[in-house]
Amino acid sequence: MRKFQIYEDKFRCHCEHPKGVKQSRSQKKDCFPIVLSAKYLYSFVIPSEARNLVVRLLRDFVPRNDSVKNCYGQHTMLAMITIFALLCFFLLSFDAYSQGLVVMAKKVSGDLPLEADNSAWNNASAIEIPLAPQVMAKPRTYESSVKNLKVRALHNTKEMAFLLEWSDASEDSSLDVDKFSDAVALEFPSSAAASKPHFAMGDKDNPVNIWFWKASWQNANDMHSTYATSDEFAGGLEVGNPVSRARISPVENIIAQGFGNATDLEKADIQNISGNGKWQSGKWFVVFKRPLTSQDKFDVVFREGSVTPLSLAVWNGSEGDRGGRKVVSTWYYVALETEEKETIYFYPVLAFIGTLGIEAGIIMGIRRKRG
Amino acid sequence: MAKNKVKNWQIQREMYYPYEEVRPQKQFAAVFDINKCIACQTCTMACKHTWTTGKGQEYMFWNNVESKPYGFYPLAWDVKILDLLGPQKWEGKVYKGNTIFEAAPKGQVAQGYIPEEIDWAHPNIGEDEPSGSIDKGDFITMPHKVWHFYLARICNHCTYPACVGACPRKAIYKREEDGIVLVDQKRCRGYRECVRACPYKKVLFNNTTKIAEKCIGCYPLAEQGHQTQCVTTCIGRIRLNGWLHTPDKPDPANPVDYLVHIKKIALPLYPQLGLEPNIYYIPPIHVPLPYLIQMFGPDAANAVAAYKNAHKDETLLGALTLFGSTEFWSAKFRVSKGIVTGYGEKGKELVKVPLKEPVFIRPFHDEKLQVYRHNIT
Repeated sequence: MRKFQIYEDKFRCHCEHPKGVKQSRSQKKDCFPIVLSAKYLYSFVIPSEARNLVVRLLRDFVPRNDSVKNCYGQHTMLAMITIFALLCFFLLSFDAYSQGLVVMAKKVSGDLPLEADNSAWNNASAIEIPLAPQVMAKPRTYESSVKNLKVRALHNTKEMAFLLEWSDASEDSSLDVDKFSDAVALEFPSSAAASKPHFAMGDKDNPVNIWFWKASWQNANDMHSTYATSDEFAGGLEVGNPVSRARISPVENIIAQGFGNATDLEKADIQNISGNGKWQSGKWFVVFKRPLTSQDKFDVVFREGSVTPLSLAVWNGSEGDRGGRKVVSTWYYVALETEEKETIYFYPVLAFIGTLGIEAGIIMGIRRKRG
Repeated sequence: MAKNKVKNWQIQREMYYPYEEVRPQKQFAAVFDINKCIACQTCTMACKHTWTTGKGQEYMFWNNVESKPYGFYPLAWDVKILDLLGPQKWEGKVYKGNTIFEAAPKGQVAQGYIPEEIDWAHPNIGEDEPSGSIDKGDFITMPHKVWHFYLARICNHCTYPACVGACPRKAIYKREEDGIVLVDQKRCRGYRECVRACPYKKVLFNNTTKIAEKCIGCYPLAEQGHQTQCVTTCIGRIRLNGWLHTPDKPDPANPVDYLVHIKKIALPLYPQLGLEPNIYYIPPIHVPLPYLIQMFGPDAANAVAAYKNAHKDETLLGALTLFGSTEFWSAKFRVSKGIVTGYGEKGKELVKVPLKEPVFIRPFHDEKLQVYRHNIT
């Protein structure tokens, strides 16, 4: 601490001009804001160890000189180094952060797999998304054994596929009065959303499009046990409740505008999302597949090279999960890998080198002036 | 879902409910006279044949008759919810304990549980099981030391239905025109929050349609002014449908209002749960009072006394005589000269019934037909 104060004093000393030296108006004007901003960053943003390091570097780098000229140069340089360091820091940290936020849908050729054990999935890197119990709307959940889920994504410019993988000790794939099904859902902003919807089921102006897979629908027996013929005593069937009718797919396409109003988008003849789930040694592997585009105005649309928000929910049937009783994530993103990846990487590097060159030029200039 | 204070007259206080107090224009209600029920299950079969013959409804009984204290459908439904609530207290006619809404666990709308599938599998479990074992000689002592009775149950079409409050999709609604509570068969997604919340366990899960179903109060009949199937088919004539008003403006000429509000002889089932159920029971007069108070609230003693004196009260007798005498809803009744008359909503006379059946004594030997009669009345 003492050491730091000494350095601080030194700076103040450099800043305060020696008696008798007259400072021009313009010099004062130029010097002040830079010093202020440097000091501001210096004292608030950078931890003391880093500050000491910067000061030491500066001391070694810039020869000590009491002239007004040098005071100006020293502070400019301090500010520039600080800003540069900060930029690097943010760039690197954002990059590291975004690694965990973005699911990169690997571009592959040929048909996308509907099975989790297909080797095509090895191309895609998985990101692990933490899940938390849903506590926003009643009935709430506070405890769950499902803590996270792994997502992989692939696309082939025509279709999009997701592989979701999570741990669940029991396979709950049949319904009973007191038995609930395991399930998983992918949520995207609906194409009809005005802006990015609330991650929890969307909101009135900003609907979300949900792809909902249920183990009980996957269960072949369950899929076919539903009374397919019309029966006036099967109320749900009679009025065409999508939950009641015979399943043609274990996945349901849903639109929601907030809690409690998830609505099935499927028409009996249109089934654009296919899905497949498999439970194996304590883990669920569920694949969703859909064309990138869709005719329905509510369906999410994917484009190569674009980034789409994505959030997830998991239901553990044996823990009584259904409806709002679930674990959820906030918004993550899915990015569709594109051909022009060289350009993507080229421009930042070019910008980086450019900035470096300009900085070097300025520093050299200052040094030359001093010399 | 904001919690609101609503007035529940059955517990004589305000209570919490997820929605505001909205009373329908008319409230579907019924009075069941337990003293006359013989558990013949005609009501159960009438309901079953009318509404629940579909696949997935094999063990589904919107109407059931169970033996009390040890009969249940589903198993242990009432003792389980009473146990979950724990011991609670009435102070006079004011309920000081927690309703199921007030006792709701964190993050839930109401206290409740989901019965297991097997709990619904024996609709008449515990049939005729008395309250205790019968010692030698007990059967000739009066009053009998052991007891049991039959509790006929349908959906209570509550004023504050827990199923409505608990449904996160608002798929259950109470009809504005008659207060009948219905599950929207198109909107329900089978979460079973209603099955969990309804303390009477009268919302049932259909595993074929994967959604919830419940008693519909025979609304197509009610709309035509007809009483429900379970009411009109009752061979013991224990039931009467009627439109119930609130206790601040009862209509003394309305038979159900008269029995519930004026004579206070018909009582709600487990009013302490806080749902303001609308099926009212005339408690069995031979059952120990503590049990009756637990099941029907603090008015049980008065109701039993009033019923025992019914033979002295011509109006009361008149209202009780209307039971099973017409298939139509009696909006009003009038007793005069030993005859009760039931009137429809527009004042149309529906039925005339003598309070006492006239007795004709015929001769042992019929001269005209030349036959002997053993049964001469």
